[in-house]
Formats: sequence, C-alpha cells, structure tokens
Amino acid sequence: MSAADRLARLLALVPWLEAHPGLTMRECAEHFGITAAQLEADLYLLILSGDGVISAADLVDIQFWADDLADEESDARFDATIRVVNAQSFDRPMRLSASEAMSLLVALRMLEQLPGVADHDAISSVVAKLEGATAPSGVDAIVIDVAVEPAVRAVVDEALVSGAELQLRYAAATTGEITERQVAPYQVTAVDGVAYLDAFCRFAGARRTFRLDRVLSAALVAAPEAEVPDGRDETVSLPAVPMRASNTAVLELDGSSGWVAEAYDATVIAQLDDGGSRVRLAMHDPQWAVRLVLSLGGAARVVEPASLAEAVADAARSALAAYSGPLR
Amino acid sequence: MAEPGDGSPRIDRTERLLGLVVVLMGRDVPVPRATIRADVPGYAESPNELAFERMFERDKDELRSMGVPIETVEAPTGEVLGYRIDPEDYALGDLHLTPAERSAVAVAAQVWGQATLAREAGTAMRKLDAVDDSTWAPAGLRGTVQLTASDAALPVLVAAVREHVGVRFPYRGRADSDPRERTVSPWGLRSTGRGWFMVGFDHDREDQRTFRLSRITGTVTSAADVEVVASPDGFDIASVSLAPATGEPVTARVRLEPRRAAAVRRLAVSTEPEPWEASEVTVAAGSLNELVAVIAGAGADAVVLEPPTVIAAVREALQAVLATSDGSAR
Repeated sequence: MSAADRLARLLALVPWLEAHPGLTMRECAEHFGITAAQLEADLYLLILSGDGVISAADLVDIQFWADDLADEESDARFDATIRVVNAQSFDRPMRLSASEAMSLLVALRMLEQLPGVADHDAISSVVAKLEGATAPSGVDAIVIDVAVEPAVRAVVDEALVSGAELQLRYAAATTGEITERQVAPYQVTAVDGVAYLDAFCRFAGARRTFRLDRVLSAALVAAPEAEVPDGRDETVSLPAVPMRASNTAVLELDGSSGWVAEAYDATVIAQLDDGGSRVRLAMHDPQWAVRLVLSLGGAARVVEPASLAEAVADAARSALAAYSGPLR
Repeated sequence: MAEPGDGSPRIDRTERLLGLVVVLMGRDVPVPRATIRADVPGYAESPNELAFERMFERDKDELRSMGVPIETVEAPTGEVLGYRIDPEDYALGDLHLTPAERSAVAVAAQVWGQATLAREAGTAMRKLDAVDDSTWAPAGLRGTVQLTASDAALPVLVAAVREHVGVRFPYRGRADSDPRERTVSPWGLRSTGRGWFMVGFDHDREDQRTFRLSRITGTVTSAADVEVVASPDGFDIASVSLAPATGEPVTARVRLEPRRAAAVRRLAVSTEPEPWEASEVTVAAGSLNELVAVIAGAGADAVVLEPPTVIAAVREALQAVLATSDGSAR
C-alpha cells in the first residue's frame, strides 16, 4: 500500500469514527478491512503526528486504551472502545476522489438500466448530487451496456414491486421467433452486461430465465387464480457467460469483415493471402450461425461443418425465392 | 517505509504527508516554507535546503493528486507567501441523501464485488457513511447485480480514460498471428454481453479502432510520451457500433412472417399496427449495410417490398451468400 493510500485511510478514519461512536478497535478494523494491529498503528500515527514537533493544540486526539492495564500487552486491548476527543478540522471526510466518484457513478448508471434493483427516481437524483459534489471526469467514457428497452425496464420494475404478473413478448435467441408468455416474476439478476429475469412461466409451467435484452415488450396483467410456486428467495443458477458452446464452426471472412471475429470472440486459425482470415467460432445453435452467415452477405464462407454450409445455402435460396425478375 | 534520498529514516512517508496536512489545514494565515520545514516531522531532518525543497514539492504534488486542495498564496508581486488548505474545499459536504438514495448508492457500491473498482467503491462508501450516519442498507430489492470484470487491463485503462493519457499494450488483433504492440489514446470503455471493449485512437493506424480487452496479451503501461488525440466532438462510447457503419440512413418497407424476424421488427419506425404483430413494417437503419445485414439475417422471414435499392441490395447479399456457400471461391 502506498503512502498516499494509507494517508487516505487515516483521513477517512477520523470522521468515520466520530460518526460511529462506541465501536471497539476490532469492529472498526473489520469495517475498514484491516487487522486490529494495523488499525492500532493508524491511530497512533494520527494522535502522535509530529512527535512533539506539531503543537499539541493542533493534533487530533483519539482515545483507544484498554480499561485494564493488564490487557495492554495482549490481544484483549483490541476490545477497547474508540473515542474521538478532538477531531480538529478532520471531522469531515475528504471529497470523493475522481476514481471513487467514478466507481459509484458507473455502477449507478448500470443500475439505471435495470428493473428491480433500486428506486429509479432515487438513482437519477443521487447521480445528480454526486456529480455536483465531485465534478468527476471521464464518467461518460465508461459504460456498462445492459441493453434493456426502457419501456420494458419500467414495466418489469413495476411488476416486481407490485407483485403483478407480466405478459412478455420474447424473441428466441436462435431463430428470431417471437413467443408470448405470461410469467410471475421472482427477481432480476444482472452479471456484467447481461440481465436476466427469473420468473415462473405459465406457458412452460415451470421456472424459467429470460434475457431482458430479448424481451421485446412487456405488459402488466393481473395474476390468475392458479398460484405459482414461491421462489422469490431461491437463488437461480444462471447460464454461464459466455455459454459453453457444444459445437464450433469454421468460417472464412473477407478482409473487410474481421470485425466479426472481434465481435463474437472467434479464434483466428489462419491468415489468408487475400487479406481475409479463417476463424473458428463457438456455435451455440446452428440456426444462429445460419442467420449470422446470411447477415454477412457473402463476406463469410462456411468451411465446416458441411451441414451448416448446406443449411446456409438452403436458407439463402428460400429467401431469394420471394423475389422475382432479374436482379437489377 | 522511508525512501532513499529522503534523508529521514526515522519518519515514514505517510507520517510526513499527514503532518503536512495537519500543519496546513484551516490556517487563516498562509504557512511559509520555513515554518513547514520546521514543523512537519521528517522535513527538519533534511540535510539541506535543496533536499527539503525536493521532498516538499513531491509531497505537495502527491497530496494534490489525491485531491487534497493545497492552495498556494502569492503576494501581488508574485512572491509565494505560503500554503494552506481551506477545510471547505477539502471536505465532503453532506449530500442530504434520502433513504431511497442511500439505498441506491449502497447497491451501486456492492455491484463491483471483487472487480476492478471495488476498493474505490469501498472507500467512497466509508466517506459517505461519515457525513451521513443513517442506514445504508440496500432496501426492498428484487434483484442482484454483479460485475465480474476481471480483465487485468481494466484498472489501468480506467485510469487512462479518466486522466486522458495514452497507453501501450501488446495486442493480438484478428489480423495478427503474434501479438503486436499498440499505442492508443483511449476514448472510452464499454462492457456488453460480449465482454469489455475499448475504443480509441490507434497511433500506428492513425484512426479510430476498437480493442477487445480479452485480446490484450500483456501489461498495459501508460505512455506519457504520446501526444494524446482527443475523441471527436459528439463521440459517445454508448453508441459506438462494432460493425463499421458506412453511408446514409435508409428506410424500407418489409413484409414479415407472423411471429418471426424479431431483429427486423426491432428496427420498425411504424407503430400502427404494433410492429410485433404487423405483417408489414417500415424499418430504418443508420446505413444500407446495417439494414441489409439485419434483413438478410432473417432469411425468408423478411421480404423487402420497397424501395428498389434496398430490394436489390438484399438480393445481392443473398446471392453472394449462395455463391460462397456452394463451394465456389470467396
């Protein structure tokens, strides 16, 4: 730990102790994530700062002595209560540093996109207060993008608060198929940039996890007579991110489509003479891979598996069949 | 903890910095250097004026970079009279947070878990907790939020983005068989469902580039020698797309299979009938490429009705897919 980091802790310690009187050294140390012996060293540093050089009238005064002298040499001294006698001008903490403000603001802006985790009016107002108090820089440059539609967020939020059920329009990941289902929401879980709704699905008759970025629309509906199993306090096991892929596909990308490898974290197997690359891609579902290759409009060629190449050709043919007449 | 050259093996640096803050805090009259040298533990031992000056300058810089507002008070002639810290500039004021706001902050601080900014979130909370000792419990939650961001590069990049300094790192790009060193002015960091990305100015390519943090193969160092290129006006990391977008915004009328082609329906600008139910929608995208990619990706579930330019582009794209997937050369 650098001298500056330790000084920051010392300066934070005094006002915090003043705001929380009656704690023992052990309790305080635990709160600051340090050992009681480290805390003791910090306190000595605070009260003795100066070794007599600085006038005693200017020094912070804190008492943390054991009542029983016999305890002074043993660990029992850490059960002594701390009392701030005179905090001088250190009765308030230093302003938040730029990185402290950033840690809270980046997280608050992530929460702002999510239902169920905090009061949204409170998030907006506290963001304004923190920005006003700290003049942070660079906060806008760091974004955790959960990709939940604001309208969906608001409705799911309301359902979680009121206990109402939800009518969801949900897009399947692999086919673009849209299904409708009524669900009783339990909770929201967000890990990094992905948010899930854990709910009892009346359509499936079982507990299901929905990715919130695939919820196209959501509406509140009254809960029907049939009760759903109580699952609010259960923890859900989420699909690992990224999901383990059962298969892989090998594609050849042309020189202008290398971003595909970047976006889908494909492994580059070989560089091609024409500037393109051969990449191996995790394939969660063949239908997903078909749609990806179609969307690349010829910039990607399927090398393997052969079944994927065939499926892509079939899909392209059937899509073209809808158009007639010569091409241009 | 004394450092070589300090000339003060007895006083550790933290103690000296603390002493300096104590001596300067809340003085009505600026404290002259001579007083600082006499009163702050550690300075008195400095062997000569020059050694003291060096230590004092370094300490002053360090405190200022921590956020301690050390004011330099000058006479009208420009002569430095001394230094002081105004407690009003130093101290965090009471933010008068409501219980709901406190709850939101408490959740936000927990989001980082063990990840990159967890330590900063913890120290921030102890400060807020000292100006406002009410309850900080995250209340009434129906969810949990967690960041697992563990990319080793993240802390340095976060600091570089904040402080607008250049960075250097070895990176295995998609076109590299071996990692290559990159020099970048970082503009922003973004986490999506697919991981962390950095967008910035690549000094070797002399253009904007996107870097996936998982492809940084070694240590990120700050590059103080680099003249940082600022992000262009209106740059917004939240709206940077990974796929290159070129050309003009475009709209099209598209016929859709019922309950299919969700990605195309998401681009709908027509609201009646509701795009999720409609058999025909008007869609819009930032460029023809982008629109064609989404429509072609839906295969037979989406058919373009107009305009002819979009019809032709989608047909060409599908023809190209067919040509390459039939085994002919790309």
